Amino acid sequence: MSKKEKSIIEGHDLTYEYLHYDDEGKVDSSYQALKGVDLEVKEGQFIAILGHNGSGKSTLARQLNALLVPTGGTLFIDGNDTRDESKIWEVRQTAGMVFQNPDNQIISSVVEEDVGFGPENMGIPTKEIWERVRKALNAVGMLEYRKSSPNRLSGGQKQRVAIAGVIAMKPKCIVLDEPTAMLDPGGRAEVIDTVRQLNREEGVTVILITHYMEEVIPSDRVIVMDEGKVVMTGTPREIFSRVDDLKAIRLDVPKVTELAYLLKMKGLSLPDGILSIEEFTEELDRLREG
Amino acid sequence: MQDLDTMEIRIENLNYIYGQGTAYEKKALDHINLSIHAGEFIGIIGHTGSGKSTLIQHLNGLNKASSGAIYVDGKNIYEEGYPMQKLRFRAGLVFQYPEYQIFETTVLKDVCFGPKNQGLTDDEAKEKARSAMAMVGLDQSFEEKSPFDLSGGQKRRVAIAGILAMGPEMLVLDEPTAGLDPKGRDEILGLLRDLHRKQKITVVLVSHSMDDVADYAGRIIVLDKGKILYDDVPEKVFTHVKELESVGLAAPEVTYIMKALKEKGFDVNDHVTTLKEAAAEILKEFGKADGEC
Repeated sequence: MSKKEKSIIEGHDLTYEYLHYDDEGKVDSSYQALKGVDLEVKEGQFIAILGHNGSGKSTLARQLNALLVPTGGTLFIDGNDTRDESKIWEVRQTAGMVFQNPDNQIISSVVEEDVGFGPENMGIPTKEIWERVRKALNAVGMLEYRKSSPNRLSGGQKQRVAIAGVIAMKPKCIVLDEPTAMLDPGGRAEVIDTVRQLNREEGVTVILITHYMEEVIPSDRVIVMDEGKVVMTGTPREIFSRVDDLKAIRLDVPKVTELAYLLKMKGLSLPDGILSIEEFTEELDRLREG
Repeated sequence: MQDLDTMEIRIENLNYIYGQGTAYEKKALDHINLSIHAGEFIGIIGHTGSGKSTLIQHLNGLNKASSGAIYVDGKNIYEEGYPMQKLRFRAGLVFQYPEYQIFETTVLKDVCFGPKNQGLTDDEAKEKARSAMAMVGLDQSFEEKSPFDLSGGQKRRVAIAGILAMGPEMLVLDEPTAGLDPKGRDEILGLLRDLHRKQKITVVLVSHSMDDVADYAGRIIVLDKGKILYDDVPEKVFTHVKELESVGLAAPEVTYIMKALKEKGFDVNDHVTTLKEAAAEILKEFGKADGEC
């Protein structure tokens, strides 16, 4: 449940067209990745975005911190129009981004210096920088590596350092584009737990793009994209009840949801949209007694 | 289809140390002993940093062990004069995000690169390339396309075709489903299953997805800090839930579901690892055999 009613993200008829240039710099083809997306996110919400590869979800994510700006429609981040160049740093301060590949995000040769890079650029006093660095590294379980060289770390460790670097800047909103794709199950759980904690305890708005359906379950709302458009929105339960619709657009549902669905197809009267193992066992228990 | 030899690999007391003698020395692999038999489908799992990628890069000679031996068909590859390049054609290694290794202007040219390096003529290379493209489900219409105009999953299949065109007996893949959407994952894994069953290619798969290895691998090797923790069939490996969790891994989702049911008093086999098996077990409990309605 969101604490405040303020919209931190407001997109109307958001359109984005990629232009392809020939060798002479002339546009020779274009591709519409976003075709009129409406989006509203209130401060403190945890939003999940699902979509097959090519659906426009990463393009949408990159709009949120003005890496890309709309070619049509509007997008306001905490009241700032992303096309307004004078506001670009405010936008980027509001929405921090974490990408899939940590190698594209780490720039320093010592972990703690990389994490401190953001706060340093914000002009924060030195003592506070170190405090933020310590807290951020601790939150992602990498404190013992603070003096390590990032290029000696594994992919998952590097990713956690990248996340710490964003957390240290204390943005109001964190956008994560498949942040766990390169991590082991333990690493995935740590990253998602960290993100959930930031959302619950610090009220950080979270936008999570993922292909791991289990990660979507704690979200307040799910946005499903297909071919540059939003095709479904709803709570996780509402969305995951639509198993066939999701499979038709190359997506999936959590394993327990799929198992319940399979059993329902075979004649067991189970409700739709079961999201947790607890619910599943309770429903089967009820069937057994009833 | 070509006549395949049976490729038997035996790794004996293999150790690999990064930065030996420097301040950054790290033992990445510690006394690894294992055999890979022709026709197996093996999943290798382990926490990030456990040595999975380091290990598989030994299989085609890319990494050289600090000590120990690797016997391929009885011959130690570290002996003087061993034909290393030939090994690379027999053990095809597909790195993570293989689309980064595509560089040619057309799909056909890129897939031909490997066979040409094996000394085949242009025509022979094209034949191998076409055959490999067919194996991965890319029809002739893809031949003249620029690889960079393809989707992620398609690019990945081009990269795999490029390895298959060299006729490997074994395919070693590092996280082949990384970055793909759910359907894309199914497609690549389905492709590997086909290659394994129909072309009889040995498959070694490194993965972070417990569900994927449970569904497809016949044998799972678990690495922890450079050592082998378990080496067995999925049903046995995934019974060690707590141990797996303590080393940064997990059991397949299905295993957790079945354990929870067992705790609630349902008489089900909690060693199953796939959805189909789980559904069958539960239906039995409710007196409905799989297939009835």
